[in-house]
Amino acid sequence: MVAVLVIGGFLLFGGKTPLTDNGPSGPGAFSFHLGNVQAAPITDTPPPELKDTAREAGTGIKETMDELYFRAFVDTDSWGDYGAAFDLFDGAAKTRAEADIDVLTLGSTAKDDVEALKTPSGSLTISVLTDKKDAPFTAVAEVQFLADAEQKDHTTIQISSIGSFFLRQVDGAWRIYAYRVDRDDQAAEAPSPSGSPS
Amino acid sequence: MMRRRVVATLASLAAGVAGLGVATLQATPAASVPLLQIGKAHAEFDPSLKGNRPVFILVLGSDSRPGTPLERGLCDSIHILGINPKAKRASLVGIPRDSYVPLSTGGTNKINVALAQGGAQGMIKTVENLTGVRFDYYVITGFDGLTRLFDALGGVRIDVPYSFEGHEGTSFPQGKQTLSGGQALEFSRTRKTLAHGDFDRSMNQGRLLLAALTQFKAEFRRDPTALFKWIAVGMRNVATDVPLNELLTLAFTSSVIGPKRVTNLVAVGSIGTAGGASIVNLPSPNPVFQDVAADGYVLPKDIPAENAPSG
Repeated sequence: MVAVLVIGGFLLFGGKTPLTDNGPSGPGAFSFHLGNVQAAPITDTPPPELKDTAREAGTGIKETMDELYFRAFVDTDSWGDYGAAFDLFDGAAKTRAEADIDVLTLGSTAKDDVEALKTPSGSLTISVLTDKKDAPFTAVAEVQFLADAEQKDHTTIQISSIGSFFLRQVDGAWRIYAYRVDRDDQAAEAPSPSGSPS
Repeated sequence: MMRRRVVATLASLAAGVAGLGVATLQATPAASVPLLQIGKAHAEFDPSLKGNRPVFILVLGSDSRPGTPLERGLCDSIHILGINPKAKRASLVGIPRDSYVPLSTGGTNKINVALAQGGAQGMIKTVENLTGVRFDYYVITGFDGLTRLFDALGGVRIDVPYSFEGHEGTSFPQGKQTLSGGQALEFSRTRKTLAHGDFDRSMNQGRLLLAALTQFKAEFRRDPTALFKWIAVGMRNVATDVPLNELLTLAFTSSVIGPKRVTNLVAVGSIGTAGGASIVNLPSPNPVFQDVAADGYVLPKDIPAENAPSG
């Protein structure tokens, strides 16, 4: 009987949910709110004429940034093992990102420490530098990300990540080659005493 | 983030093994310790230009008038920009336009005709032969380009070391001020009202470049998207062979080189005449050229007093 339940559970949840799951949980996706997307041309073409070019690049850039913050913070399966997030960095930036794990992600011990990540939200603005043919050459994505990390000790940390990410196209995908990120995580206010008997 | 609980756990284990103080440690429940480290953390841009090999750029100002190709003008501003990524140092070495030198196109003449006679490549070759520096890239701008460039950047904030009057009558008082594009052009062209004429003018041109670097660094620090504004405005108003990706790399690199680590000097020489024209005879060999060619920069202590005319 137990075996049936185990196998049934395995099939039902696609093998992804631990059978004795006391682990973390969180939303299944993340999407930044996309704000201004603008072109910075090196030619004499007026920037408004490159609006569509910038928008198209912005779509791909947003996908990369959504994926980065999903893997680095929101995706419980990635907590502690951020390889999928670091794959979004190109060249030397990937090695550097791995060293900056504490700034770029929820942390190497998130799986042990965090019960759930709640109310993740973020905004994104993008500027696209175009080349002499007015094609996208590189871009900078400015992000603000906020979330509440509910810890296993029932305290909550307000996560704040503000960053500037420079991206370029590598094999058709936008990848990060330089970044500056500030984290300012703060303890959330403790809930008021419940008045339960001592 | 690094977890404080790890420290507590290790301490507990150590205490347990020793059989001492376990009760004391356990009196502080782990649950009361924040699990994730809170507070501020920071990761900074990493310039991708690495190594000890210096990068050299020949920065030229052409006097070509609107409608005339930059490479058909005389070069009134000639600067070697050397950057050493490893040392995080750079130098600007001005070469007086009246320097009397062998030209790559043949003969000996004032260096400022090298551009008109041989184009950018002729100018580069002439300066390389003179200095021993091998240039990676060049940048040329003209009167219009420089004016538009600084206007598009919102002016340039500069600390003028001494008061003087520009050749078009603009007063440049000593101290910090913001110059418009037109004022920046006049600042960099004026020589007759300066104590050491063309040497001081070349020094002022270096000051203008340094002021721009300082401004870029401050704007980039405040707002990284400023990088694109500077590159876009720059590329629209200069002629250069610096590839866009290399320009980005150089911009990142320059953002970590403080203005105090950039030396500004002029290669001075003795005044003479040739064919009735005033010329400058540069010493040969020239220790300033040898120094900058070696590693891309000259330390402030190594600048001879005469190579920093008027401040």
